[in-house]
Amino acid sequence: MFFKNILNKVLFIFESFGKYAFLISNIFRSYNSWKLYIPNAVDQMIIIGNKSIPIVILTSFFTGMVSSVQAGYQMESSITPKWVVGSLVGETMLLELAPVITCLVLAGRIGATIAAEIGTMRVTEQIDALESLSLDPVAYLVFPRMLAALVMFPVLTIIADIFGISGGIIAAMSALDIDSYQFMKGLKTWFKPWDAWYGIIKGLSFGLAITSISCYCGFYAKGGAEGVGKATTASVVNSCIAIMILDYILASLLL
Amino acid sequence: MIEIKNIDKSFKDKNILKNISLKIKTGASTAIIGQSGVGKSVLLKHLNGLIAPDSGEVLIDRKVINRLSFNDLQNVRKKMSMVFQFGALFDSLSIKDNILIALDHLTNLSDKEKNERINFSLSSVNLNNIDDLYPSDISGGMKKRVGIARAIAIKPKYILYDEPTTGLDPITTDKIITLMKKVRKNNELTSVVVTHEMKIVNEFVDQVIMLKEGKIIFDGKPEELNSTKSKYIKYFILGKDID
Repeated sequence: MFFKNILNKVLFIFESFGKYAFLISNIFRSYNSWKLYIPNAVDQMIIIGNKSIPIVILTSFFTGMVSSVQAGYQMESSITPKWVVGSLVGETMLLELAPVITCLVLAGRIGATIAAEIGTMRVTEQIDALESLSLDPVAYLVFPRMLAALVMFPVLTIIADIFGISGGIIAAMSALDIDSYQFMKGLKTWFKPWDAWYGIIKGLSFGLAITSISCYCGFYAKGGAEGVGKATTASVVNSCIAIMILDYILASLLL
Repeated sequence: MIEIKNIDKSFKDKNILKNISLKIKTGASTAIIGQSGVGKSVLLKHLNGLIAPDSGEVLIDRKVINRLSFNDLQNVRKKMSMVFQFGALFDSLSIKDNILIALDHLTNLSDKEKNERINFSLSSVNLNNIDDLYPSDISGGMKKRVGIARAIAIKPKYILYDEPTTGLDPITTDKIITLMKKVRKNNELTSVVVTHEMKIVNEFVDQVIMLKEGKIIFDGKPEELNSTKSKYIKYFILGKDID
């Protein structure tokens, strides 16, 4: 019985991967009708992008402030000059914190929204209705969201970079007695343009993972309101796990 | 013509449809009846490819649709419309856009012609001046009528109704049945309706198919159904055990 349960779980995981790959590959099934769904993609850009800007600014700003204060605390008794704080904050924000914290927050905000929206459409037969009207539900629902994620997640990552570093400067000036000139000196000393690109690539990869996983969870939701709830929870949990795994893979490959 | 040959369908370990075969003539109206959970809606969804059988064939105009590619199946679906149990209107779109989305995709009409078609479809189901409302603003009965308007707007050859009167009061039920008759008369449609409503069986259809435990136990005319000697069918029709 125990081994049968384990086997069923393993089969379920493989089945889920297969269905996920099938759903994503089906985006290309109706490539000739993509142009019809561009207006939907613009709507999704507003939902994914514009409406996420306040939460991205808030989280990245305070993350930058905290990393600045903690960097200052660690150097309190060392001989390292204080302007190094600028370098530490800049590098941690660009390489790790801006894309990861932003995408973890957005996995909750956007992932849950997408899974709940598509899941509700599934359990109320709206997806069946799309198919019965000979519209491709994958092209109609998944493609615009993926396109919006492709465009907006790098933008949100850049916004997080800017506000994270700004938070770091303000915290350094107010709590660590480091002026903006010293902070910027530290920031520039070990700055490499690739670091910024790396963070943007991470943001893009995480964004596509969040969006595709959430679409998948919503698309295969079943069982009424309870099913939509489960799909929403699964989308957030699986997106967060995917972010962590991708974070390591991208670090191994790109750094 | 719609034809089903020896289809089986299971979900996990539960065998829903067992070796089902039937024919529905072009222009005919057919009811699929049976107790809840017997597989009526599953059978209906086989007709437009929303569900594929595990084995057997579903033929629409002599094409085996369960073996078609996605794009070819889409072309077959262009001839068919479906009215869902609870309307299945798109929540994020206005009533007008719910109908327009079908017209945009399935027709080459001009904007003026599309507007005329929308107004005609909505007036056919006795709904006027609700174009700009959203599905959440209207009642369950109105949603079903908008669902019918959306279905007839594309001028299909086949129309599938999934429990069109379930949960409605007797007056609204009567209005929906009258509407279905009107739609059939005006459009020369082949209609297939899944229902528990004996009024639909007696007033709307030419053929009745009854399912029990995944099998067809009756396939004939409404009059034959009403004069059957089967205790089970009589129980179903009358709603009480005759013993």
